[in-house]
Amino acid sequence: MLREDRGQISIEFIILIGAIMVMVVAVFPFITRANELSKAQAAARDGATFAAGMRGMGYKPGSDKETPPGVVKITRVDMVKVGNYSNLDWYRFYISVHAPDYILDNTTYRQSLCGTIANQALRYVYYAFNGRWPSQSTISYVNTARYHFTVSCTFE
Amino acid sequence: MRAQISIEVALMTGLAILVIVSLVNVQFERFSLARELGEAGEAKMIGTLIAGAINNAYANGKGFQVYLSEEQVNFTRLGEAEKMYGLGVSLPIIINNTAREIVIAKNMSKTGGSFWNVTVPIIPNNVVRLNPSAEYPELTVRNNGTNILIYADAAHINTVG
Repeated sequence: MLREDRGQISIEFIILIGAIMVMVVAVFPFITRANELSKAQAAARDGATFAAGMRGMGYKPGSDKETPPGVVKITRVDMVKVGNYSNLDWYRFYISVHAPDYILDNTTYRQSLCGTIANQALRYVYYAFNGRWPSQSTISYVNTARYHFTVSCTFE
Repeated sequence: MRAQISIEVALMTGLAILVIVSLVNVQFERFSLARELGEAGEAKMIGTLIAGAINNAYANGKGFQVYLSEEQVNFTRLGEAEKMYGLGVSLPIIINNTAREIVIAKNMSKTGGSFWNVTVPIIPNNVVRLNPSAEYPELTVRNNGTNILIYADAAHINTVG
């Protein structure tokens, strides 16, 4: 092989790379959106699980009502598109919670527990998109460049 | 053709680095979450241990005393955790005589909260803190017939009410 022939790549490879790049550019917006939604759902699940674990041990944040300790579990976290909010796609997390009867039978305990779980889920979503925790102790929604996220909490 | 590296290898190496870096980030977040929950459980256990000692001293009457060694309740370890990452138990642990409970505050600033509190109920409402001595080292709980005395540094445990 001649010296000037070294370090060459084949024309087929250049064509292949070009084709791959065209495909990647074409699907990039879809991948980005899917990735953002996946990130949001993972963050919401982490936040809800963390809150359930802490409340299960008997912890309560700040001014929340105290609940007796018990087995609190997150059984499902579903993300459903519910429409549009302003010019954003509105997604709601439906969080299903399992808790002992002595918590479920008391409206104050139910509201306090659900409030903490929903709030913590949204705080984690906020952190996932902003890289910092929200300054308010309680938040009811998170807005990103494309999405509007809210949470609904139900007991099983 | 010596010392050549194909463009495929360079591309694949770049992609592999991207994937590994993203996985490491996710893993660190999860690790932080798990550690916080673990420390919160540890803090609750310490509250339960202290409450058990107080209740035992109360129930067994005058002269009864319980000693919780440093291996059971290690305030230095709790304090170090707080210094390192802004986590850990916020000392002092409060014994509220009026509410008959031990209040433990856990710093959750790393995982999206400020302070989360947990309470452990106790039976007596006459717990008095005293400084530890050679005779009664930290953390001794003693019933003197009038009060339940808990020997601990004020920076570690305090009583209210």
